[in-house]
Amino acid sequence: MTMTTDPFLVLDDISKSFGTVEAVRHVSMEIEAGEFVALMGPSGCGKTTTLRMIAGLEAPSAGEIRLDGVRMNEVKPWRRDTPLVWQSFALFPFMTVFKNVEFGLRMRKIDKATRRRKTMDWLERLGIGDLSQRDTNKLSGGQQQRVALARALVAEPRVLLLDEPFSALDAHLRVQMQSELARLHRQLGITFLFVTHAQSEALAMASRVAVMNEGRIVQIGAPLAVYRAPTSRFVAEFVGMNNILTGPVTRLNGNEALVQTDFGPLCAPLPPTHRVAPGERISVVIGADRIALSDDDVQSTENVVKGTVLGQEFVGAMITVFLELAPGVEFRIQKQQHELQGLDLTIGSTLTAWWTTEHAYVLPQTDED
Amino acid sequence: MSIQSEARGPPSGSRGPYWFGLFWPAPSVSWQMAFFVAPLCLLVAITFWKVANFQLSADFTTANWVSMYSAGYFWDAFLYTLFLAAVTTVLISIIAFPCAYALAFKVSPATRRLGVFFLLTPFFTSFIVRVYSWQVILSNDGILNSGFGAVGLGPFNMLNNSFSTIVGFFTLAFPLVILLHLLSLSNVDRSIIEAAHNLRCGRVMTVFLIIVPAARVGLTLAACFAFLLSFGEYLSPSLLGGSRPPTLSVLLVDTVKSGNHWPKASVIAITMIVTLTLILFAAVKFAYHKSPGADRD
Amino acid sequence: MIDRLINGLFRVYILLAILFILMPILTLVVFSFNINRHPRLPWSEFSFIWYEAMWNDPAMQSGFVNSLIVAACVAVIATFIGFCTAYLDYRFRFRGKIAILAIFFMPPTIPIVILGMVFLVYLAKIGLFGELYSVVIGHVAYCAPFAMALVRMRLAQMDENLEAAAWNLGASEWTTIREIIIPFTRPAIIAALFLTMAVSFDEYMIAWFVSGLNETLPARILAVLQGQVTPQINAVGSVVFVISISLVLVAQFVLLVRRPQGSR
Repeated sequence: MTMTTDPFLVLDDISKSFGTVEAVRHVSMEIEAGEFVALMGPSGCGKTTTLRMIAGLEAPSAGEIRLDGVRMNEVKPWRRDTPLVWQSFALFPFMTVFKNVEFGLRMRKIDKATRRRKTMDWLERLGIGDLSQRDTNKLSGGQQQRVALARALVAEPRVLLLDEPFSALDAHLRVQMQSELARLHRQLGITFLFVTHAQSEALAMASRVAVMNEGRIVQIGAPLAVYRAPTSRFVAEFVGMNNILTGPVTRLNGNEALVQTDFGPLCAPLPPTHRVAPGERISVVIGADRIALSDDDVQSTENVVKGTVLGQEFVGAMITVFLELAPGVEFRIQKQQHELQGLDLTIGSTLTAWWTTEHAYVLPQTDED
Repeated sequence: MSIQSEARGPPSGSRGPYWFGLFWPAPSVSWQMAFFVAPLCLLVAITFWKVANFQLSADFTTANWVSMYSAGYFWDAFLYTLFLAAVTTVLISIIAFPCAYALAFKVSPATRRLGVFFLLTPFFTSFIVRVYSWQVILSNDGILNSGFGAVGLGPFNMLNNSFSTIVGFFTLAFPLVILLHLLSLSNVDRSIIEAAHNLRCGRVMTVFLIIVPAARVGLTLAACFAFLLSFGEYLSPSLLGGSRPPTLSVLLVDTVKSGNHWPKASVIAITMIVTLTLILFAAVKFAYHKSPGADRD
Repeated sequence: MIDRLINGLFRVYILLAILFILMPILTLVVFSFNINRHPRLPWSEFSFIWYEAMWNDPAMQSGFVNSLIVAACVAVIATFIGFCTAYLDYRFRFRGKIAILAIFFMPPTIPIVILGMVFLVYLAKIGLFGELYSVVIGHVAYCAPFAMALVRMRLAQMDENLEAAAWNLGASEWTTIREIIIPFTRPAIIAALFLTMAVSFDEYMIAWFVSGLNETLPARILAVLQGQVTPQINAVGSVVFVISISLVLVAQFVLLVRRPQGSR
């Protein structure tokens, strides 16, 4: 029977429309107990609406949400155990830290002594025990974040929902809270469902990633698989820094295809999932971090493109070089700073970029626009 | 009435009436129906009733409308009321603006807060007492004239005329109009003022070419309030204006209290409400109408 | 130099405006202590006789008590209705809301002389004329919009997820009203209580029309002003002024000075 094999949390073909706007369209997903799943996508893709439906703050227009095999659609939010950590934290401003954390226990009519013990336990556990009598508006962002986490976890839920919880923090704190969250997940062993638009957060913490676009889940899988093997142009562009070149297949050579693009021929390993015939147009993805740069000509006829330097961007020790292959066509190469020594990176100079065939990847669908 | 689509809130998924949602409109709707809408409806109905032997009885006669609208004194009062309200509106707008302008641009935030305090507080305090006090100040043997007399001037006749009536209207509406002007001036983007100065638009020119047009909606709204308050005010024309000539409000009270003729008083009341509605509607339309220059960019 | 002159002139202008606003009040208070029957310059002699006269006037005494009773009842009812309507507007969207709110905000925009007459006719017709509750009925519709506006402005400052956060932690909608909405809007509720009390305590027209023999203090003052004025009116006016300004000051203090927690 399905009842016994039903995964912990099931989204069964759920949709949600607000008036004429379809925020979520036919989303299906199964989440096992103890997973750390990230829902990611650009703003307006329906990820927060999906999370709010799980918490019962929105009603699905169609489809079914099951928790432990039980249909949740009609269950009021206050009858669910699906605490949410809000983007704005949504701490109760007229209550102390202690009162905030205690709130969920008080609503569950738990006796005072137990409430006190559990609340203090969680405050200590998150390292804010000494703040218990403070007003929440006198806390730093990181402290507020911890209060929000303690408040959500104090009633020992089996799932924790997080809605972009780190977007209000600065970069340094974000990394710290990420590792804290990962530690909590390991210790508690409960399900975490995490919504974010930042791919770095999703890839760093989640055991599975679902990418959403325009209300649909467009790809779901392990972080690295999604990162290295995007199934669509959208995911390839959203998840990592990828370059995509498109052209017709001219020749098949064993399990490699030769593709003629506007910027030269290139070679790509054939995808195992579908057959490619000569003449078919395919899109080839090359990760920006997999590309080599040189100012000499390269002794190869394939997997080489030439362009003029448009500019560069520094993030820490990483440099992204922007090459213009043709007017309006940009090619991005990401390198460690020391790898670029000796290259002329002034704007307008000509550089050659190349890569090996195994680092190219053929998209299953060529969704050109 | 059904409350189904919530602005923000949990789904009302379960069956049965949504008691929580039905509760919130209940107090205002029931109270307003019983003690505001019903009285207003009765007011309209009563204009068609008749009075015989000092007894009011239900009827459907247009006699009250006809007799009121054919009375010369009614139209005199109507025009005088319109005239007073219009003059007051113009005067208040002109006199209040520099004050609001100074509070908005020429003083420190602390002074501005103090000013706002002095303007906001009187609106809610003892209008009747303040009107009476003007009587004491303005009367022929009153404070101002005894002051003038001490230096050999006067006495000036400052009570029981249009002037003293308008002083009463000012007492009611002036602080509120300054406050509304101040509110709309503080919403004017400072950078467009600096841009105007930068383009060699002088101080005075900037006020008339930039600030007034930018704050037009708020200024018109303030004028609406001035008109609204002075059009229906009763104490100033009766206690300070001496009821001669009567305004509509004085006429209304006399018709109720001395004449004991509620249907005719209702005709006056409805005429006042309709007049106010039409004038305010036209003013709001003017305020939100696009200025001719705005279409081009 | 010119700038300083202009700024100085603007300051004088502001002072003149405030002087105009304060003049009647100052005059009243000053002459309430003047022994002379006719308030005029020069000031004659300091005295409390008009306060004593007021104190011993039974009509003033009962008017004062009546006013207090009416104001307290109006404050509670109007603030309750205002709170409900503010939450209705904050939380729900439905067809007819605009109509409900438009009618709700109408009473203060209608000249009170008309309101007074409307209530006189209606209450007389349904047999509720001439009692203290007649005045309460007349005042509530007039005062509730002020309470609504105060609470609604406070709700607009609330993090829009606060309610949902409470539901999410196990509080039902009713519990959330008690645990979140009321504590958050408490300063506005208190301010609304005091402000509506002040408005009701001051209101003379509706009270004059419908109170019959149970006159409130402002209705009594209006009746006196229309007949034979006695100088004790100065004393009464000063007392009324002090009470109503105190109520308004408390309302402002609660809202502004004691900085409300959790303002964003």
